[in-house]
Amino acid sequence: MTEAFDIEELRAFVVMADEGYFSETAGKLGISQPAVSQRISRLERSLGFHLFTRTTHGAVLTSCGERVLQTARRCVATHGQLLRQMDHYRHSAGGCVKVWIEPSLADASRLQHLSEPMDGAVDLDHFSERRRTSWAGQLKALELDIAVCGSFLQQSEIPGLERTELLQEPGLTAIWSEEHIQISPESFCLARALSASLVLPSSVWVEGVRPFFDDWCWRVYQQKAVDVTEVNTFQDAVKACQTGSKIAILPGNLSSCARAFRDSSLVSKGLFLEVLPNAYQVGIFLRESEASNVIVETSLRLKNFFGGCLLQQ
Amino acid sequence: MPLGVHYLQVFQALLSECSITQAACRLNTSPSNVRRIVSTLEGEVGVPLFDGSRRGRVEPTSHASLLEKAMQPFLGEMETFRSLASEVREKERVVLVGANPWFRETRYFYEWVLSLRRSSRIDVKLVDVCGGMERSMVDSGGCDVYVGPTDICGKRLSNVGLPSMEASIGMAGDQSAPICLEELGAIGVWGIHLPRLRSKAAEWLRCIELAGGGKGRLISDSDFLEWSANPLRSQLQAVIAPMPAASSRHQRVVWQPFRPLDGIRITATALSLHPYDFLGSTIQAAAANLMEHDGSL
Repeated sequence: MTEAFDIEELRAFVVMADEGYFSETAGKLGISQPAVSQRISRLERSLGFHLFTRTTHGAVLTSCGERVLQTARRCVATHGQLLRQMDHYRHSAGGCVKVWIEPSLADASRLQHLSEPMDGAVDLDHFSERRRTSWAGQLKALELDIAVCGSFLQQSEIPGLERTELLQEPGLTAIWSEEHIQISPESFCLARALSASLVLPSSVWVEGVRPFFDDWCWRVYQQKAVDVTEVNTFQDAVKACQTGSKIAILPGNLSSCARAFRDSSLVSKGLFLEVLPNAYQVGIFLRESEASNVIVETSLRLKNFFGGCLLQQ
Repeated sequence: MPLGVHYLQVFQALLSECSITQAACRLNTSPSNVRRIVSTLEGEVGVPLFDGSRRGRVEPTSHASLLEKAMQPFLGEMETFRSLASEVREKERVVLVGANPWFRETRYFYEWVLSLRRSSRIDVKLVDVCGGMERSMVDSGGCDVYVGPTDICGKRLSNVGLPSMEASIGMAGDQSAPICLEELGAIGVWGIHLPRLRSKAAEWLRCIELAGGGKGRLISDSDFLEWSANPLRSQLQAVIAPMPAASSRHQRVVWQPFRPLDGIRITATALSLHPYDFLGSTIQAAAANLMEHDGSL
């Protein structure tokens, strides 16, 4: 009496084992309660043993059920992978590559430049604050194909991802507006600045600045910054300095964003420039041994494009 | 389910045969079914997987090899699951036999479980079932089969009648047991120990009385224990009960079948759609086995 079962039955089994109740399982799978019970008994009949002992509302795994649960989980996981892969493939076969460029690196004029030579083939995913997972996670889950972004004092190699270096800069830069804060760059002192309102990049913009900064201040000055605001883009940081008496601590020696900087009334002071060479690194990330030609080509174009314009500054 | 195992297996067969008819033949299905499944898959993936030509010959596209590569981990895990499941099925299947605790003490139950163990390679485990819980235990899978004198009905359940459990009579060591009901009158005080089946006990009492065996009484568990520990000290000369399983408590009592009384009907109950496909036949076989040894019960 071998009845066939498929991935749907296994998924019902795995979810049921986690949830323990028919109603919850039905809700999670988006099917009716009798359908859950049917799938599980179909699977049980085809396997030839009970997976659960039923109680009034729910079910408890039998010892046989426990034996096969882990393998069933792996089936469901690899099937999810397959679905994602095919979904991703469907997109890239249609000539659509999902690129995320960290917004500080991509102002509007640049983006326009970027999409022109690609005949609209690149689907640029704009930054959104509601992103749940990090870009590295999104890359691995095939939700994203290419990410262009920077990191501060982080390991440059991320397992499973391939990195093309675009830029390396030393240390940090403090910027502020002389209209609001009357300190000359020569007399700027980090220890004293700790009592001012500070603006630091969030981990979404550049990973690693905030942890390094907090750690440094604590170890060297035994102090914590009193008032810290995190911002998600360079533009936000500049705006915050222009409109209020704030000091922004930003990664790199600011050659990468000199243009935006020159327009304003801001002054700057480089920090840790000698102590931390190459602390700020900007790169293009894509999955290791990417099979899709469209993605690889797009990443090469991005490299040429950014390599050109970052050097210009 | 598109991208489920079945669809992918059809895809794989077509990939290796490169012919719709041959793939259908290999999978014992129709060519139109293969065609339907492949086009559903192509719809799901969004790209053509095969280039068709006229005579049912097809050529895989470059997309096909990509799907083939991508699906391998999944199909591999499914295969692992299948083989693990059959390993569990072969080696780890346990039949949980449920019975009321008092019934488990009977020789009948002991013999039945023995014959169950003899009749196949399954592992049998015993589960206590409290009175009133019989049906829910079977329904929930708390036990795979319930055996006992209680009739349980339900639309998902199926019952198998087993040989009935005969009455037996126990007496202290050297006395000869009565053979017919009238003889009971001559031996003095006797009792019936069947506290969980009052109506059956009352029926037996009435039956004996009508046949001229005199009045007996129903005895409780504690009286029964006391008597079986030391039958010579007790007023009771004989006790009628289902034959107990061999036990040190009954060393001084000799039990013999007592045919004149009606036996107790015993039923085995299991889910009619139980995952164990062998369960029904195993119960039947054990019942037949029991019939052969009927005399001793």
